[in-house]
Amino acid sequence: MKIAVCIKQIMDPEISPRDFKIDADAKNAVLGKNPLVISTFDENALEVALQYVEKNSGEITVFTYGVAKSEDALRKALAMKADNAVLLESTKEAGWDSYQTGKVLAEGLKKHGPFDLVFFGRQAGDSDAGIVGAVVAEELGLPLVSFVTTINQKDDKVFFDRVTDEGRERVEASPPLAVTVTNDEGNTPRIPKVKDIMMANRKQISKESVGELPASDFMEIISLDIPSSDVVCEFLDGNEPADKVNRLVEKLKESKVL
Amino acid sequence: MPTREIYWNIDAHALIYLFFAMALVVFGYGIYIRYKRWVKGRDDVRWDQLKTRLKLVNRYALGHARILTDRYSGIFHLFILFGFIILFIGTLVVMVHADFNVHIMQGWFYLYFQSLTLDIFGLLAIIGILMAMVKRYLFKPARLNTSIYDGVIFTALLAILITGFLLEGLRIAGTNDPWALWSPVGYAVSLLFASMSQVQLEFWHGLLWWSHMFLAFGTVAYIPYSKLMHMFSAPANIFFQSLKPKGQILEPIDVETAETLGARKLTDLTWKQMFELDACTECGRCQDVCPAFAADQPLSPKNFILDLRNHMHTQALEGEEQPDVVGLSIKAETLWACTTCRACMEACPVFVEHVPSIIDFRRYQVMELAEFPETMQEATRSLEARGHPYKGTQASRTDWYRDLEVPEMANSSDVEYLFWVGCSAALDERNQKIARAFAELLNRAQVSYAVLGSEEKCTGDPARRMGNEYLFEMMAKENIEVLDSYEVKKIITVCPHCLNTFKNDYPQFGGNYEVKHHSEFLEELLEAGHLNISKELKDSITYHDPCYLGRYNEVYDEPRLILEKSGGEIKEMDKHKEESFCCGAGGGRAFAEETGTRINHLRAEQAVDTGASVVATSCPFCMTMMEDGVKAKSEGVKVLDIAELLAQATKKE
Amino acid sequence: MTHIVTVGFASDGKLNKSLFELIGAAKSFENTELSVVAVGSTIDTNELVGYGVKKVYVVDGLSEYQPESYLNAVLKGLDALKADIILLSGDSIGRELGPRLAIRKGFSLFSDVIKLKETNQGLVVTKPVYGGKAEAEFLNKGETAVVLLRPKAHDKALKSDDVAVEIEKVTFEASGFDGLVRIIEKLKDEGEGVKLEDAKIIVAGGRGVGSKENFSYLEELALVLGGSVGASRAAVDAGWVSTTLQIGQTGSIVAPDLYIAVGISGATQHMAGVSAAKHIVAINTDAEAPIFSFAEYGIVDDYNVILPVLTEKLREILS
Repeated sequence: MKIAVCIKQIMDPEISPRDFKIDADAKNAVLGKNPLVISTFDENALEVALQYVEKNSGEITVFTYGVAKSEDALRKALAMKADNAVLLESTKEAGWDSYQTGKVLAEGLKKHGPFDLVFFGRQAGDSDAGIVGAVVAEELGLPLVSFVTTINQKDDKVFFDRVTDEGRERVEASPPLAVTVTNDEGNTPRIPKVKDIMMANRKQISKESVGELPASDFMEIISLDIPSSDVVCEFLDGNEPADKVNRLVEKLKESKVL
Repeated sequence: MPTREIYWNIDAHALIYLFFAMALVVFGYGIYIRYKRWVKGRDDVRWDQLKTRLKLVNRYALGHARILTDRYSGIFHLFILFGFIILFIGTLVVMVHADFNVHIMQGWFYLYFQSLTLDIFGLLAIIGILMAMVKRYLFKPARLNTSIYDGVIFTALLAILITGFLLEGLRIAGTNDPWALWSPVGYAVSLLFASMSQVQLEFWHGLLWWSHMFLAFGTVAYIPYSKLMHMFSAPANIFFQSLKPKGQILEPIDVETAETLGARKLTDLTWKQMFELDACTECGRCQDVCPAFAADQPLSPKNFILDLRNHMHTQALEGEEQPDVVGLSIKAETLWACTTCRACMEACPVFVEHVPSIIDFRRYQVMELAEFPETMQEATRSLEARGHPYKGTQASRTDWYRDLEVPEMANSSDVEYLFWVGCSAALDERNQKIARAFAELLNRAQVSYAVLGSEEKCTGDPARRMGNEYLFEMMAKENIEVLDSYEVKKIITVCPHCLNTFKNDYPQFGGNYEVKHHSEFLEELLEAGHLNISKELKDSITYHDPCYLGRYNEVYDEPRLILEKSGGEIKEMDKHKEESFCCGAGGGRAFAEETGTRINHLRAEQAVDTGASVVATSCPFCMTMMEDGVKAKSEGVKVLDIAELLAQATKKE
Repeated sequence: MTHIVTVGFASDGKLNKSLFELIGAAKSFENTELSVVAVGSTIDTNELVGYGVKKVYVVDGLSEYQPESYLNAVLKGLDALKADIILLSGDSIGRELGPRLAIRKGFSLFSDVIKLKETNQGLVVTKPVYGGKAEAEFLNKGETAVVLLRPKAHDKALKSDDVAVEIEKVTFEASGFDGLVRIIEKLKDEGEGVKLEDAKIIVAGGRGVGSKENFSYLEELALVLGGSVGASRAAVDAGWVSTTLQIGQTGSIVAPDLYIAVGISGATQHMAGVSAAKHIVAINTDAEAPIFSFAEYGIVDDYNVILPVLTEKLREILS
């Protein structure tokens, strides 16, 4: 099985809101001293792919589209034991248009492919759009299985456990396929072994320049703001837990929730 | 001239040399097979500074300095040890006198030493053994596990002593010894035989003499095959102990060249780590003081050592195909239960070094297998990406001083001290108050200091204790680079873990600083009059010693002095100073899920039981643990850092 | 005149409720024509009477959601109705189909939209980004767009007239399996109560709950209140609860009357999923936790002290 995993390097989404600042002119978040990480669902996707290869067989190539320092994300993926890495290097940070990103990735995948399974995180932790996986699926003409948590194989049938609004379900589908992955207890990304980290640092990453993309035909960001909350919390104090609870119950009765 | 008949009615006594030679062969072989296993370990130099080492042997082996911390056990051990030493010398005297023809066993020496002293020490040895048996068989302390072999040893030693006295009695009775009263025990025994005929006396003397000999030589031969081995291995282990600072128990690894990171097989340990397995006397004092064991967690430091010992003597130790220790002889969860509090090492009378071995096995699990508890993985991931172990913290490093005047290194010049805040005090909402209180005190005392602010990162302590030496080394080097860029010479920190890392770990990577814990620094400020008490506390306070401040860095008095000078009345817990009981947070345990009884609840109970109204500590990790524990235990008892208390006491009205 | 087509699904014969949120959003536009593409089986189009819908294109005969056949069905409807803006609910079906529709049609695509408005330059949508830490406005540079609306971000449309709708109905040829992705079985999570999306009361736990076992405190309270238990992503990632209980930007979007947040710090990513809650109560030991800037009522205390007392008290009152 030839497997591709598309990942994105983003500013750590776990930073404190106080460290989150916006450049109003560039309409971007300011990186500052904040760390860069692999977008979390992409890590889940890589983990699902790794688990699949461990149980069955296959070769994993990670792809990313981004600026030179995205290489760190690929190195991390290699340390987790992906086999190859491809950097589709641009001179500028990727924009907001997921079409463009999807098309760049699709080109890269075509060039290195064909792949039997192409993995994505369900959405990137910065743009939060959740579109790229479907764009690539369309570009490559692949069916898409989304919100997958686990993959199993029996004989030559591949089963995907996925989460929908209705709950969990198991679907069967035959590769080639595009797959988007959502987080689950079973696909928490692994910690790489130190030897693998060191090996990953020595591995060759194939870099292909995609230059700077033209402005999007579809969309333009016109503002970026940090929303403010105007809720004022009423703290319910009391000496005993029972006092606090009683006050809460009263308030809930007043607002007719109870 | 006073002396006695030697070998009295024993013919062919020279045969004892043959028998003794045989015993020595068996003895030597036993030592040899052990030795062959010890030397399979990695190299380590433990014989430098000979004089210091001999002094330590004198103090802790002969002087029983640690054994005597349990008075009863210490005393019976002294009786047995010195009883046998004196009797052994007595035996040598006989040999020199009778067989080397150097006549020393006569005159006052015969009376005072060979008769009286030997009798007294023989009797003391018997008393010692009986005391030991009473303890083991009647009181049955939990720390002792008793097997048939303990009975064998007790019986053998008692039999040697009793046959010895019976022989003396028979000889006195049979030879009409004029100096008999100088051997009071022998004389008393001889009275039992007063009615025996000379033939009977001689018959029994002969029989017992050979029995005594066989018992004694048999026991000698048995030593390397039994717990008795400790009579040699324990003093040797005391001799081989680490002479580094107490806080420096871990060695760096050259990650690039190391064959295996950490210990997979037993021989990945050093020869010393293997040797000490045979030094363990199974006294169980380590288990008695272990907080994880007390909280029913899957760790007994004693069993850890004994399981390794068993592994050493039963498993193959050759080549790469030898088995993994973890999984076969040690359970993985045992490794993760350790808080690295060092209480076991402090309690061990023979200086077994448990913690470094635990960390060596952790290192392999973490770095080679990447198998360790999920929550610790989470912390590791965060350390890597964010430079602090708290995933999902809502604070940033500069939050705690956003309304305080705290200078930052980047905007200051000619700063004397770097105030290293540490992740817990910078990012944990409760512990930010510690940082604030300390900064206020520094401002009040007009100290020249600055913080790194957003440039600060974790020192790497949790990574190192969790066994991720690779990550630790990276973090250490990064931090040293930052510190060097500001030419930092002196560091003060409110976190004992940071303190220990700077003081004992960083020098291994070329980072040398003058490091002080805030308790030491504040005490200096008080002493110098830069801080003045304006409002006495009038509280009764119990002080919890953080392991990494106390046992690791031997700072016990300064925090107490601060509390006393602030007007606090100190009520000590039973377990304090060297014997302090860990809060449960060390060794990366702060980031692990706890099962069963929680260590911090046990410690909080001890603190609350003193009746003090304030539990003081001087470590943000202890703060988190103690506050959680105290809350579950009692309403109204406050948990405060010494800096917070001193800030209260020095507040200008 | 902008032609807005809203897409609804009715795999079990009943149109999904979020369709009415889409209609609600569409009605805020002036000068529009509103149509519906409804895909499913035995669809009752009478449900759509009275909402100002001009035309309904029904693709019947698809009793179970299959991505490929549903996609083709919607495309078929869109071929019949010339749309300027296609609105879909950003539920699990919408998020799967929306992007593919947009690409096939060559439309612009906006997902997770919480606000949309018509301007002189064209359509402007607002969506949260950076895990909800910020909100971005995007201008549609194209003529047409597929917009995925975040569930519960818009009020449902109210019935206002009795004008009958024009209905065109086709039966989809390929019944059932589309040959590509097939549902084998629905997997049930243990102890599942009311679906989070529909729950009136939710007791949700986060990292502060501390362990799997401790979620029993929350379960008991939820039981007494007749509500459901939810969780933040931190609690799901820790393995304490199933991923189906995850609430937030990347989990369920909920709109309960009462939301009790237990040991939840209030990261924006999570709060994005509860912004439609009517009343939020937060219980947390950390008085500085961001959750208190979203909550109406706050209790600063240990939840394992408060919850048992609260559960007991409510049991008294409610029984």
